[in-house]
Amino acid sequence: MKNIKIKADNLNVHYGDKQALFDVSMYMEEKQVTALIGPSGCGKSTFIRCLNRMNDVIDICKVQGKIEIDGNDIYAPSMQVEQLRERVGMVFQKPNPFPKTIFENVAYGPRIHGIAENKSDLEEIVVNSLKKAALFDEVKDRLNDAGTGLSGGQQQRLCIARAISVNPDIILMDEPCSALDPIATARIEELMGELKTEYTIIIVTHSMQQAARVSSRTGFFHLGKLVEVDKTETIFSNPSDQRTQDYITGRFG
Amino acid sequence: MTDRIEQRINSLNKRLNSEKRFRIYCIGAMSFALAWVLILFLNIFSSGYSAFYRTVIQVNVPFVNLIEDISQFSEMSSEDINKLSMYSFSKKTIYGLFPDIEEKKDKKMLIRIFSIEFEQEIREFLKSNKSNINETETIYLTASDDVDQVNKGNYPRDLDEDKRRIKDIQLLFFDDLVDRGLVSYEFNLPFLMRGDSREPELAGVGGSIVGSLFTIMVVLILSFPIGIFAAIYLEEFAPRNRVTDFIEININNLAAVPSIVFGLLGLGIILNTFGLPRSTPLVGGIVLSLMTLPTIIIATRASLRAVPPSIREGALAVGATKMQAVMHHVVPVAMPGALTGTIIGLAQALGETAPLLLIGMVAFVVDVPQTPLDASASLPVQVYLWSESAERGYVEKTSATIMMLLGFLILMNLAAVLIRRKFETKW
Amino acid sequence: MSEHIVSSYDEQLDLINSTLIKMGGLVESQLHNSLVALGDKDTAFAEEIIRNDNKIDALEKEIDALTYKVIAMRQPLANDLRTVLSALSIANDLERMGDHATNIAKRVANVKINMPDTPVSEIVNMGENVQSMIKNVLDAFVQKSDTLAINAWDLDGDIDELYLSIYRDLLKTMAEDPDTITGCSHLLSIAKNIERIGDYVQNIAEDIHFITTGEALERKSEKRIKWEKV
Repeated sequence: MKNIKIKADNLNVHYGDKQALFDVSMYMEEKQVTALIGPSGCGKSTFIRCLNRMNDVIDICKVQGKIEIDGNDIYAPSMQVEQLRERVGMVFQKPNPFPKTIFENVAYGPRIHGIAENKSDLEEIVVNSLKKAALFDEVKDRLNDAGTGLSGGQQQRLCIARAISVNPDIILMDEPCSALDPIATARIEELMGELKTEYTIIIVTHSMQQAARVSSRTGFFHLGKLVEVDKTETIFSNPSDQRTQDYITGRFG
Repeated sequence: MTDRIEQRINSLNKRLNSEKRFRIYCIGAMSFALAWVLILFLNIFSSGYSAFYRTVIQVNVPFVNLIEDISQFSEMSSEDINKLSMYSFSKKTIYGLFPDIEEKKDKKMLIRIFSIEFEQEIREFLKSNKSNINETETIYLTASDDVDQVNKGNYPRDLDEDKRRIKDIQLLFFDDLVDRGLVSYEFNLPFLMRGDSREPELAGVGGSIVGSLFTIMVVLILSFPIGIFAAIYLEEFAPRNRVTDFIEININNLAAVPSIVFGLLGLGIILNTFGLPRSTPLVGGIVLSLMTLPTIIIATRASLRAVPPSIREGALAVGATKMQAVMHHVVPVAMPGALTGTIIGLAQALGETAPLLLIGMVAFVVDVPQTPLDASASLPVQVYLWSESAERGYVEKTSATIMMLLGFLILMNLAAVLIRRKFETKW
Repeated sequence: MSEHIVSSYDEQLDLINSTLIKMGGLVESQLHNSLVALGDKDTAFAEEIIRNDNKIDALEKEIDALTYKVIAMRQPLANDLRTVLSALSIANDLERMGDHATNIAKRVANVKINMPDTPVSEIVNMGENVQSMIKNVLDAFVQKSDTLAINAWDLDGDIDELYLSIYRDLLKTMAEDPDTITGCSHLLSIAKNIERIGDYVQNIAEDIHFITTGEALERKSEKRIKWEKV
């Protein structure tokens, strides 16, 4: 078993009076892809947004419990949320490149964190990130074109390049392919296979088949509870919990 | 079966017909509104365009009669020329148009055909041409406003003599000059350059243009930064609680407050309590800024709200602080909308009259103001002042000023549209 | 087990199940008939049995097509996946069983063969045991019962014992009366076919165990053929 990178302990999340997550505890391994599946409203997006504290943006959201990354509690008062997000990147469901040039999209992160020492450093970082996101060849002649002028799949890869540019350890992907066509989806899945050698990836997906294809461990959420988490082959061939089986075979939604 | 089909066709036709009728009503309403706008514009234009040219009378001025050695003029300084006594010389030059008239009364009437500044005009000509002056020069002197109006056909010539200002003999002189081909039109540059005057033919709109300009500058400098930053803070950073709700309600209400109330505020606090100088674009600008601020804040907040939250989230997810996310990403996207709102607010401020009247920008100001601390009028105030005067000469000037005001407003609104179109990003 | 949200999915799975049961029933009756033909030495009946084998092959092709369709359309997972893949395996086993039953009928249809009576009745007895094994395993499949499947699996031990004793008897008969060698050889073959049918039933029982539990059946038979005792 590989090292544990992320560990959630008894996580409880409330939006105002409504509880969204109940006592969720799970771990995620380093440099592996972990998939989170479950029906709509089951809390998987809420959970993943706790991992980079994006839920801080929502005023009525209260998080109780512990989440440790590399042994450090990310909700400790001493944790700077901007530094956390430098280490834990996020790719969203609908591609959201900045309304700036392709170069600027990728350069923004390194710039604000002061990662690049000079201009050529920054260019190198941008080029490397675009290469790792399998986008460089398609855009190398038009780095100063608008990021929003790319196709959906390319935009999503641009967002992946943007997330990688600050050299994170962990990449969170919240249904990254749900707005893309099958070929763009396949490209992103291929990319995930390459990225997992360097980064720990957590992916939320509605597609069972995608979770089965890309992940090594899968967690099934239902009504805010983590019902079952296990090796992917086990979950999809012989899950322990009847609810898991019913969900993945399409016996309830 | 065919009954049902017929029914369906009938109901379809009814719908199509009612749609046609609706379209006709809409086009009718629009045409009605446009027709009135057109009538308004035509009315103003037709009475105002004549202000842009004025009647001049050609006169031969024998400078050699003033000083025999005309080369002396080139060595004289402006002050020296100012000290020259030219009044009787100028009068004699004018008498030279009709050498036969003897009676003093008639000669007085002849002088009155010209503008009261005829001597000054001859002097100015001398000053600007002193280095290469000829023995006799042809100068175009400004006609008086009565003659100007007669020439433009605005004057009722058929009234009894004691019911009008221009006398019969002056009309005779005028007709004779016209026959001799000495009466012509000239582009009325002084109208645009000079300040107000008791004499209509000399009154200019230049003072009010500069006054309006200074006022708008003050408004821009004060309200734009304050408005934008207030809106950014209220929209992005302020907590959502009772206090901020209260502030938002108040800002929305301020936008609807009648402008004269701001004038009272200006009078009471800015002039009396702070003691800033009356009638100045500075004070007018401060008062109008207070009026424009709510407009800018509301427009900017609306633009900020229109920015999709996905952009904010994208920036935060990469590790930006809230301030960086807002200033680097949200504000640039919201800027076109904010600018449009600002320009519209400024255009409104440009046309405001009531508050400026209260703080005294209604003074009769002759000089063109040099700084925002000099007393001045503004364009709409000038319209108000001139519309109250009796002389016919002011009618065309009032309309011309309205034309210019409308022109500026149209330009500003056009600028707003162009800015938005150019910078609007699509996502 | 609750139903799929998409009802046509359940209909497809039900069709596969019912086709398998139909096929199993056919195989059972083919075996039964071939045993009757053997007992009565009825060659005409045997010819009919041989012709009926087509039906079993046709059903296997049908089940193949249905399972491919379900896999392509539904991408089944977990127990559905196990059910569908096992259906392919079971159909295959049933087809082989049908072939073995047909082989028995083929030998019976050969008029020239003279088979001695005593061994024949022993063989018919063994065949009837296998027939009841088939019935048990089909019941286990219909009820998706692991217990019934394991019972059916265990029964093969008895079959092996019976086969051993028939083998000994036939050898003895052949040694005593060389005229019976031809007939007894055919009988040996027939017995072998029946024994193979029993093995296939065991395979089906293992598939049923996999469908219901998700694990392969690890079981040792206590009764092994002890060839050295022959």
